[in-house]
Amino acid sequence: MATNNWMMTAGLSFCGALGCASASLPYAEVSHYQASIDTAKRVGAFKLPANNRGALGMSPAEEHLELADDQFELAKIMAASGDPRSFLFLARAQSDVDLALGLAREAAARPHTSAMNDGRTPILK
Amino acid sequence: MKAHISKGSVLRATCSVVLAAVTGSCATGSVPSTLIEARRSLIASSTGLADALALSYLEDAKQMLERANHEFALHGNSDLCRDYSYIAENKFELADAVARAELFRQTKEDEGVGPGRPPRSEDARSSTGAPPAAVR
Repeated sequence: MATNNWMMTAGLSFCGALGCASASLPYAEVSHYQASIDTAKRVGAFKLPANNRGALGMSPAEEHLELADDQFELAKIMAASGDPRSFLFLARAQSDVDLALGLAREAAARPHTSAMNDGRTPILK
Repeated sequence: MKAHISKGSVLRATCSVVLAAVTGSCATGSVPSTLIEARRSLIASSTGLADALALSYLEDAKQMLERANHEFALHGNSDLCRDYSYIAENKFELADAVARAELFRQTKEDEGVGPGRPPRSEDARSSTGAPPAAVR
């Protein structure tokens, strides 16, 4: 009887460990995300000038960084509860960081006194 | 040999097709707003700067949109479809941002050199409609 109990406990522990292992976020993707956030901080995506303010009172790049942060936190919570959608939330967070970086680089390249094409106006007549 | 098709069988076939169409449309549900936005962005970006100056980013976005469309065709308005659409939309915006940054960079270079300078090879290719090398 004691042997049966021990085997059951061992089996449950193994299944629990397996469940945790499958629910954790992939290390490579998380590292990539964190490296992107570091780059965003370094290039100043959090501190863009006032003429780039978005709807939430911050620059579009900063908005996307906030979104990325929220989605990364959600991904971690989902992963802890074994939700497979956590991978997708991590991908969403990564896409937001990438966009924030792109917007920050664009803002850095943008001339201050120029009405340029917004990028979505056809240039081919 | 002439096949006899009764009115009843035609009616039954028509009803089954209509029923399948109605059931199918109910199963797929309405198109998610994120997917609609991503499709709009595809049109906007494909006819804008990104098509000329950030082609690889645009292709990346198109692939993600294809995934979203495929998922919508298979499972309708699902979480996966909305997630793919969201990522596709971000990728289209990124392609536009990269293209604008590249345009600013080229403009700066042109202004720095001054008038009378012959066009660069990339400029010449752009004027003929072919895209320059993709920006990464």
